[in-house]
Amino acid sequence: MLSVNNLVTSYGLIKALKGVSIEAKQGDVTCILGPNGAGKTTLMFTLAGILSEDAGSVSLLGHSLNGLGAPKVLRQGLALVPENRLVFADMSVHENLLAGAFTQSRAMAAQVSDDIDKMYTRFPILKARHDQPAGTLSGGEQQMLALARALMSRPSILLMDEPSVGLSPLIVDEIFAIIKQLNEDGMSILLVEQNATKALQVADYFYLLDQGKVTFSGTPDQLKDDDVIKRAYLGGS
Amino acid sequence: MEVIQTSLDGLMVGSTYALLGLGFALVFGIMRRINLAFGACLLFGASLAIYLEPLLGWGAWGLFLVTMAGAALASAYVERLCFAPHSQRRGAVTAMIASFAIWMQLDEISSQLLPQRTHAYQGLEVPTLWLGELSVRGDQLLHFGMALVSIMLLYILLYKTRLGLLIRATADNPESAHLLGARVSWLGFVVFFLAGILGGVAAFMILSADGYATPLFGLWSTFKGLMAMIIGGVGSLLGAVVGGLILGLVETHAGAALGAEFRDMVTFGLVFLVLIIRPGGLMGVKIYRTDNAAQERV
Amino acid sequence: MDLYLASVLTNMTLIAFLALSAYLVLVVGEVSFGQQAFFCIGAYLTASVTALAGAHIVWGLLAGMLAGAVCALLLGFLTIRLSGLYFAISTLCFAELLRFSLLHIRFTQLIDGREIGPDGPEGFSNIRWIFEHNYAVTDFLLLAATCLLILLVLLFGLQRSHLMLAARMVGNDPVLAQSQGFNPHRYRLVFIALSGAVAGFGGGLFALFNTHIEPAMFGVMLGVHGLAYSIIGGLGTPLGPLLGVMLDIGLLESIRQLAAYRMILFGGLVALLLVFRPEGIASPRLVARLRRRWGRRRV
Repeated sequence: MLSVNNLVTSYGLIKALKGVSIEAKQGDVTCILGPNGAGKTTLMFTLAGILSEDAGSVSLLGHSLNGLGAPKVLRQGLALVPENRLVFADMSVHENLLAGAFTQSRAMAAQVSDDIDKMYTRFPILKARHDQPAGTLSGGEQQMLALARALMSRPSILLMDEPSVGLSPLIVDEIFAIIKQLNEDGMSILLVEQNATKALQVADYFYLLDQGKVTFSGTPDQLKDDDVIKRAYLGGS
Repeated sequence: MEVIQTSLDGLMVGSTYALLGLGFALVFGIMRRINLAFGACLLFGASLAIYLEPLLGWGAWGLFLVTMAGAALASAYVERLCFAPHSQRRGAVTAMIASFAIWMQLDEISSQLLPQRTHAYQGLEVPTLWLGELSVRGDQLLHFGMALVSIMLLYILLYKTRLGLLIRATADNPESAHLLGARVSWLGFVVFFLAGILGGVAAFMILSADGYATPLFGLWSTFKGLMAMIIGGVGSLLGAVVGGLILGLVETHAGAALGAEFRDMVTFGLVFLVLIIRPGGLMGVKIYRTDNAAQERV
Repeated sequence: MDLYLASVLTNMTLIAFLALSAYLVLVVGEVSFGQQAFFCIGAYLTASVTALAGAHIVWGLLAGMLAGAVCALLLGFLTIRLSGLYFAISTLCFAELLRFSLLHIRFTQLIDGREIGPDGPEGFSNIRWIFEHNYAVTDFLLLAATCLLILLVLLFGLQRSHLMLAARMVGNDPVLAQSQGFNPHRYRLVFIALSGAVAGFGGGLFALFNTHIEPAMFGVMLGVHGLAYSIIGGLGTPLGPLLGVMLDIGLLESIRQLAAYRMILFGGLVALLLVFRPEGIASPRLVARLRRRWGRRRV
């Protein structure tokens, strides 16, 4: 459904993506592995329309996303959960969720509050804290809020940039359980991760990004058989 | 010939601006903070010096020492009260406003020390130097030398000592420097103290060249320092020095060509244009790119 | 009402406009040292329209407001790439450039035997509309306070709107806001223009009340005061900047007997206050907590 063809993006004077092609299938969890500085976040920002590409094409469900800019990309159904900068810290949990539904037209106001109720059922902790400033939530709660906010725009594909970073193992388990649950409910997900062991539990297809290029692509089984990756990412011999 | 004479005058004035700019660039480069009370600290030092002068009777060198010490102490006080409590990333604006409040306070203290509008500020008596038709005031030449020495001492301190290494490491990455054992909060104190000393030297140079001090000196030197820093490139120490010299040159040339009343207008226009066309200033282009917008809140 | 009290209250009301305009820029996450420029433009325009052209103050104030907004928008466009310190200094330069330009603008006319109009550093004298129409100080206070109240009602109405929500997101984190589908530049421009309108309107009232304005009144100190009121008061609600104004002018006026030492005391108090309440008195957190206590659900 999301196909990326030969994408090139520069960041300042540095070429961060040097012709990346990936394909995320409907209903799949597609995972992009890669070390720090491989260009994962640049890829995410480019797909979301925050950075503009120098060359190449991106299309979602047959519609081109090239040069649309962030607001229109979101309207086309691609939502990003960025790494690190997760929530609007000074705004309440409730307001953060409203922010996610901003691209929906005003006519859908009733539907927005329905959606918020759905998020509160899915993430009960957010309901309990709905009027607190988001900055006072714990790391895991912030990650859930960011996820819920992205879902508020009713995306057809969800991009998640390193959801496990900086969280304790228990919370990471919880986040991945949510990802799995979302996927079983039919959501297509493009996941960027460094934690390959965790990613193997949820992903249907893998890409390895290194220095702005795709150096490997394959199914989980192929990934587990690849010696180099095994050593670098799975820690086994 | 006149152009050369004007340029020479400009360089002399510019060397004082360079020190003021360094005062700001040190604090901004290392702490990512703007100390609005910088000029007020210098005014306080100068006022204290003038107030104590009849009691001490040490002459021009006494003025120099007390001005410097007063400015450095005031700067350290500002750091403790306005900047140390707001050291988190989000505290930048709060710290700036707190320093504004202390600016008002120091201004008031200074005007209590100096009730009149202008006060004499004794300078060093050095004969004027003539090179053919060109002339340089002896005291200004001496000041220029003092500025050079101050800048060199700062360079040695920052690049040749352990303390300097810690300061630079903190500027680069406070979290890691903290892990390496640098006492980040104490270094902030040192940096403000240093900025105060540099500012004190500049205050002596400017006031003794003018021969008098007024209560407006605080605001004036805050402006000049900020402008020198912006022209040179925010956060770059070399940039602040070059920016100060350029500011001096532009001011004297604009004053000579258009008259004194347009001098400040030209300065503000220049800085405005620099910001719009080349926000990083002369030296700071890289700095502007790396510390990009979202992370930099004043 | 006591004449002295009335004029102090009027001054507080007028400065509140400036503080609120600084607040509007702070909402989108920027710091402006240049709001006095729009205050100044509003003052000069209102003065010209009422004293030179002889129009009603309604037109004068509208013209001041519009001019403030247009100039702010222009500055917003010029500085679209800048943020943080860079933006703050560029607004400072803009304001100072304007002030220095006014020193050279002379356009006076003889009306009823009086020289009226901007006259360089001498300023603009004889803005006599409120005298000619027999407004007492208390009447003018009532007028200014009503305008401020209307502005506050509008701002409170805006609090729950999409526009305000989006602007606060941009102020919180422009990149994250962009990933949520907001165009940060658009909200920034809208709020800078709004801030210009508010400052321009306040400046117009200031000119009418003072009857004399001159470039020296609109120095950077004025703008930084407005900014400081917003920060001291807190950004949690539009009432925050007002709290700041009341604290400063109110307290300063009430410790008048200490005259000479009051700024020494006050400067230190403000710095100390910020140590204990770094986000101001009515900080976003405090406001959220109060809302919760009153049990109002936020939708």
